[in-house]
Amino acid sequence: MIEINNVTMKFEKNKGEKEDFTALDVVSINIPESCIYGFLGSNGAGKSTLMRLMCGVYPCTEGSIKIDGREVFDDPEAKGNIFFVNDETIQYSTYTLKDLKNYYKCYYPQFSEEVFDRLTEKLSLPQNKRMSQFSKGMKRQAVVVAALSCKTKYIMLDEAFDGLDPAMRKIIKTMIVDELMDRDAAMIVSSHNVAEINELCDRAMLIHQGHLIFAGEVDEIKSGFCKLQTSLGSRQMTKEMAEAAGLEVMQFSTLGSVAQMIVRGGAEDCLAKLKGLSPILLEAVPLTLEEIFIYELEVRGYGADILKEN
Amino acid sequence: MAQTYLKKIELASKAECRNRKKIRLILLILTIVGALFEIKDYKVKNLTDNAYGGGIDLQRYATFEGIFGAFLMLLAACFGLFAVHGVFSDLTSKQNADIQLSLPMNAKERYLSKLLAVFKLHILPILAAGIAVILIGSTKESGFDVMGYIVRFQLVTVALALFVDSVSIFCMSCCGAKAEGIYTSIIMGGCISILPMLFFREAIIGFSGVDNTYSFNINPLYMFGGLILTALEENSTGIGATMPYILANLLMSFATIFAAYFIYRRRDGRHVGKPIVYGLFLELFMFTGLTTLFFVFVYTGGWSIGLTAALIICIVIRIILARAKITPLKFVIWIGKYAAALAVFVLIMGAAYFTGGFGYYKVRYHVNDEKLIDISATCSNISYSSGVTKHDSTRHFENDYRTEDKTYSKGITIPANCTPEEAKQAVEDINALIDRYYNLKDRNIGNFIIILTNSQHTNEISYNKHHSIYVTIGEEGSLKYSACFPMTDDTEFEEFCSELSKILEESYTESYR
Repeated sequence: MIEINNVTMKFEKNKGEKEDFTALDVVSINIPESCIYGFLGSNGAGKSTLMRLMCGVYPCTEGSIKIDGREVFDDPEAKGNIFFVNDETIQYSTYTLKDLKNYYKCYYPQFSEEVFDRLTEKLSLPQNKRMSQFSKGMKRQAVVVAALSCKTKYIMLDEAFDGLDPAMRKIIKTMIVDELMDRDAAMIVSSHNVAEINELCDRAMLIHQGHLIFAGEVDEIKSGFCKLQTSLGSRQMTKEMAEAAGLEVMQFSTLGSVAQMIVRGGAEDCLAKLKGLSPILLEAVPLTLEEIFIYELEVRGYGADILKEN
Repeated sequence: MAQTYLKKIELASKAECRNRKKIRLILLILTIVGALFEIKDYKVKNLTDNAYGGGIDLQRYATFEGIFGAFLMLLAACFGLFAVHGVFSDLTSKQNADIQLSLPMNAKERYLSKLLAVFKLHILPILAAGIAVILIGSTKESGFDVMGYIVRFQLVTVALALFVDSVSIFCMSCCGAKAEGIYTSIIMGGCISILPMLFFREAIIGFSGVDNTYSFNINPLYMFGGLILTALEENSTGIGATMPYILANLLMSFATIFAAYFIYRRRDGRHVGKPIVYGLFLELFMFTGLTTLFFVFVYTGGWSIGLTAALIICIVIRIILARAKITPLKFVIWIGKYAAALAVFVLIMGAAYFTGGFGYYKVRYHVNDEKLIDISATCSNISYSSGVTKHDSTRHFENDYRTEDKTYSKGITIPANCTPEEAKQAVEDINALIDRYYNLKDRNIGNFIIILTNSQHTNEISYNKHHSIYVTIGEEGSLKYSACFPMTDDTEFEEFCSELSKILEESYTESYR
């Protein structure tokens, strides 16, 4: 299990800046084994910083990150359980696949040449061609193959699928899931594509401006929000009325006499609370993770300035 | 456990080396071709010079004929900068830092594996080429002297390579950007090589008036860092007296690499991308560079141009390194730091001036064994405005010699003119005489400023009206020691001259007659 406890990460201020930049502010989550965990967040929210903390690239300013009970920073044993694929592949430009295999083989004693050869063959990746000559998708495939061949307990992919076409995304995702399933490993993936996280992950967390907004199982998260449509007939439903009924409204809009609102809480609870207003129409529509992402960030004013200007 | 640990480091270094194919190829080409040329031209010239005319061999030059091969080997030694830059790329590239810092290694293992990679990429080819040159060369040439010189040459190449590597590792550990890593390594390497020599020449010898460094094998400061190359010019063909200094240089490089580890282990992904990670290093770098420039300007003169050029260089580097907005206040701070560096330099020079080169003016020459000794002294009452009249140490006057301007010289040569005991006594008597009359009572701030600003940085010229004493002692035909100092008191000068003349006269005449 990866235990992230009250982690705060501050970057030293540059000359001319008044104070340190806080990239993460007291974040705590637990990532169990054998799961696919999605990191969601706006640009600059702190997802990549958290991943770098989790694989020992940065030390925590405060708090701790433990992998199977061991503090990860500067601990080879803890780091031996995790493989980090960052959002760039330029560092591998001069490598051939053979070089890539030999490189990681030197660092990970459990590296499986069989897995590497099998997957590269399956994906028809050329062995002796430099990776600078590969397409973006092929580069990603190659690095993911290397990650899977290292046979670590946890694999972290930072925006690894972004910029790939849907077919390629599917190929890579299937390949990862198949491999991970076989050995009960966990994958942590960050992406801006919420639908993809929704589809791929069984757990997810949302982070915004360094603050953790929610974390847990995807189904649980989704069940914690609902979209309600209601009409009171001749009376106009207002946000205040909904709040007075005990709902935590995140977003409210009306179309004629029909009011639509996004609220926190389970569908049944919310419907029960509104029944007291004797609505002529009352229904709950399930929310997608993408909608939750957008509404949560909207509540926090993300993009509001830009929308106002437009 | 230890075996696993070593294996891990070995494997990691192997991975690093595999990634630096181009560097490895270039270094292999340089060292193999260099070694082949050295083997082909394997010969050392022994030249004798008989400048005295009296049959004394003055110099034996060891001139290595394999110039092109040697050049390639030295180029390979300097190429270490790029090897280090490539291997330590985790310090300057965010992408590489992500990969390497997340690998299952701690900072110590990473550092050791990188050191091993640098050794394999850079030092090993040079060592192997050197050993090949020595082994193959030994079948071509005989004689310990020639072989010794070749061994020394190879050791100097290794010492230079290690120096380049150590400075580069140190500077790279303090920098977070590629460009800064490279140019600070080059500038620091150059400055710390010549700074000890400049300091010794200008502050110690210049202000003490005493020089006992006429032979290269005397002063390790003249072969510090990159200047270890001067060990090749030492006047002997064998292993040579410079060997301890070559070894000292190697030890210093190891010490630098060891010190760099403590900086490296403090580095993590946060620092990557920052041009200079540690403010202290930036100030050290600027101070070292500026002090070197100031010493150069003291030596060459032209303070007005020198100070301006140094200020421009200083500000340009600070502008390049500045990440935040440059404000007028920043300029003022930069100029203030420049002024502080200049003030520290002037203080050091001032301290050297008022203490006679930090007490070096008390250093005397002592005769240790029976060698050919020659002593000459020049006492002059000329008022100098510039320039120095020096007695030519290779020419000795057999008779008391006085000119109209009351300059007179006297020389004795052993065994031609006196017995070794007499010469030893004469040297000790002269030492006692210098001790009695050479003091620092006439030194004052006015003179110091004149000396500093006019580039007349020795104590030979500092007064409008003074007498000048110049005593030299040679050994085996080469100049070994000189003491040069002014005297302002006429009576003291006459007493000194009289006593000096007496010592030389007595030494000269007794056995010669």
